[in-house]
Amino acid sequence: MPFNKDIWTSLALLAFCFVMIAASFDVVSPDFGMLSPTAWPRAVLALLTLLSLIYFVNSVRSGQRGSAFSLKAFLIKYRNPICCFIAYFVFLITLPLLGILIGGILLVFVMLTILGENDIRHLVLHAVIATVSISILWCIFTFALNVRLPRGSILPAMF
Amino acid sequence: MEIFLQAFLEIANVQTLMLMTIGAAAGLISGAIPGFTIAMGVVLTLPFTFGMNASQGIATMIGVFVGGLSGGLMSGILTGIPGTPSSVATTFDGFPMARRGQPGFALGLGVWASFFGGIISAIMLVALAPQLARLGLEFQPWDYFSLVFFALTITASLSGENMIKGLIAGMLGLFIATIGEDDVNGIARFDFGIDYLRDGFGFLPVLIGLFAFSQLMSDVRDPKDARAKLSQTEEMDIRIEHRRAAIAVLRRWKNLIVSSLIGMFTGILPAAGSAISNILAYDQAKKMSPNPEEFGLGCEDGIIAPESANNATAGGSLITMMALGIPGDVITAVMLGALLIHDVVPSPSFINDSPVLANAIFIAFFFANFLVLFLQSGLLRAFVLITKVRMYMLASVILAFCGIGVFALNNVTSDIWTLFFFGIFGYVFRSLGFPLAPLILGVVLGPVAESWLARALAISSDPVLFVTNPWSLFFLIMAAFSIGFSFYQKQRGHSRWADFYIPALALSLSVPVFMMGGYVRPVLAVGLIAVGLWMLWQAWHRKGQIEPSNDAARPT
Repeated sequence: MPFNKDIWTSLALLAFCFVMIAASFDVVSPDFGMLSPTAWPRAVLALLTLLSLIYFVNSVRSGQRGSAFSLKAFLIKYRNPICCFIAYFVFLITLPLLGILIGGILLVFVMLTILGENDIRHLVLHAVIATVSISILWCIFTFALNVRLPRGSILPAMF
Repeated sequence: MEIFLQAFLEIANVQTLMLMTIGAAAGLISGAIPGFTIAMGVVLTLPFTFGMNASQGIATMIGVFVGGLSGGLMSGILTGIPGTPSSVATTFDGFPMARRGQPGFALGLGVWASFFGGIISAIMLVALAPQLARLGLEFQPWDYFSLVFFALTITASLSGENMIKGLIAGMLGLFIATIGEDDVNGIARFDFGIDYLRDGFGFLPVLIGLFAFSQLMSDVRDPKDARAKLSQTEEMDIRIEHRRAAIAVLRRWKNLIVSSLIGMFTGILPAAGSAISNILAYDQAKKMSPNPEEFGLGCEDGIIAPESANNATAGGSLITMMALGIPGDVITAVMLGALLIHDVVPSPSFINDSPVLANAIFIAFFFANFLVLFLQSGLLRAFVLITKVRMYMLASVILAFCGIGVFALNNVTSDIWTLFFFGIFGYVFRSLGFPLAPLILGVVLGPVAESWLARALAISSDPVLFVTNPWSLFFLIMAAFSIGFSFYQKQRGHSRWADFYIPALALSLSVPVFMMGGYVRPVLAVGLIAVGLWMLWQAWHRKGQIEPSNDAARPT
């Protein structure tokens, strides 16, 4: 019988707790202070482990069967968030090169095109929205709020 | 008086009023868009407040907060789809009234009830916050730790059907806050030798990632929904009937005051926000009404009650934040973050330590209600037009804005990575059915709890002090009962023990109240004992009125 989603989640939580409890033994304990640096996180982890165990037992007792996992169905269902996360990841990776201005415009354009329609009329509209919105934000933060946003290495020094 | 004047001048200048107006308009828009919460509006305003002083920043956020609470009524009344959870009950009677051909009157009732509710709660904020802060000055480290514990348990218990998931979320939030350098001893924890983890996670990037990023991903998950307009409000030529509505609201002053008080006290309670208060007030108004059968058909009281209650909740949650330094919900958690950016730490001594800022908050809250009333009246058509934008367009721009805003916090790119990681985590967590509010409050309250625990143990390592200090015991009892609250709600009317739940709470609370000493509190304790015994006596004689619960009725 395939496990249901809750059983998998509770098992993942339990594994997380065990890893973190083990990691807490690597934390250096100083000779000063009444509250050791590990006391509070261990107390929290102990409670989290207990709650995860209760969650696991409840999930098993519920008797709900999980459906067989299909990667294709998963990718279809979560296409939009997955594409957005990938686009954001690429934006972050290329940030030192492209900077916020160019990178931001490209990010917004790519996301608009992934999430919305992609015929010529919409592509032009997306390009306009991306350029105008990010340029406005860039100007507000740079000139009004005096924030030095990452410039990127390909933009001329004047920006 | 001098302090008040100084605070008044900090708010009543062209620049701050302009910022508040923009904030209120942004709040009205975010409230009017279904699926786009007030908290999201406040979170997105935060980066713009970095360049402002503390008074301007917090006043702008108050504008968004009050605007958002009022904005939800527009889509609720015109389309039957509430813009925010805080205006769910408004649709019960607002939409039928609008369909009956009175949309202008229905909107007017909502607008004026929101305004009066906000003003009543502003008066209560000014009156109660200093008193509660005075009480807060009595708190010792043990009491603070127990208060934080209570705030977390009540958040988890109110997080819906599955309390275990709420508690797990709260604990995970507390744990996330422990990663990085320990505030008490300066020792790195759970860094696995990675510099990025050694620095810990900034509270605001985590919050924006968990809340805004994951919310936007949820909004665009379905391609059809992503391409749909934000609101399906039809273009109508509606005029708000101000005079008639204001008179109708004032004529129902009893409902207005009771609902506002329900809203305000719900706001004071940690974690119980306007999403709950509007339903409670609606329910109470129906019970109080001589014609309860009219509710749901377009009844005036059915609009006044939820709208006055949800706006009054804002004042209540500000009381808790200002008087105790404890954020009651995600919105006040963001406001607390905004204050911390300006090196202002809300605590019981906040009103005494920063009297100008505290008074500025009071004044800003008053002004915000007037601004929202003005904006709702004049720009209704514009708000309806703005909600014609498609969700994917808004989401794409906001996601990029989140990155820029988060970078502006500390001028470090690692904060954008934190936003990204917690955006993914929040989305997965949300998809698995875990509530985000306890997680966020756990992240905010974790360092507070640990630091108070360290202070308590530095004074004495005796754990008995947690139950011998009256306030600490009071909050621990409240925490224990709040954990049992969801079981009580499920079993009320079905199980015998549920009848004794509230009397047991009253009797238990009488012990710490009595221990507090003085003259008034022992009298209060006697009152609690009397109420508890009376309810116990009633519960005892209610035999035979118990309906079998679904579990009990299930054949074995």
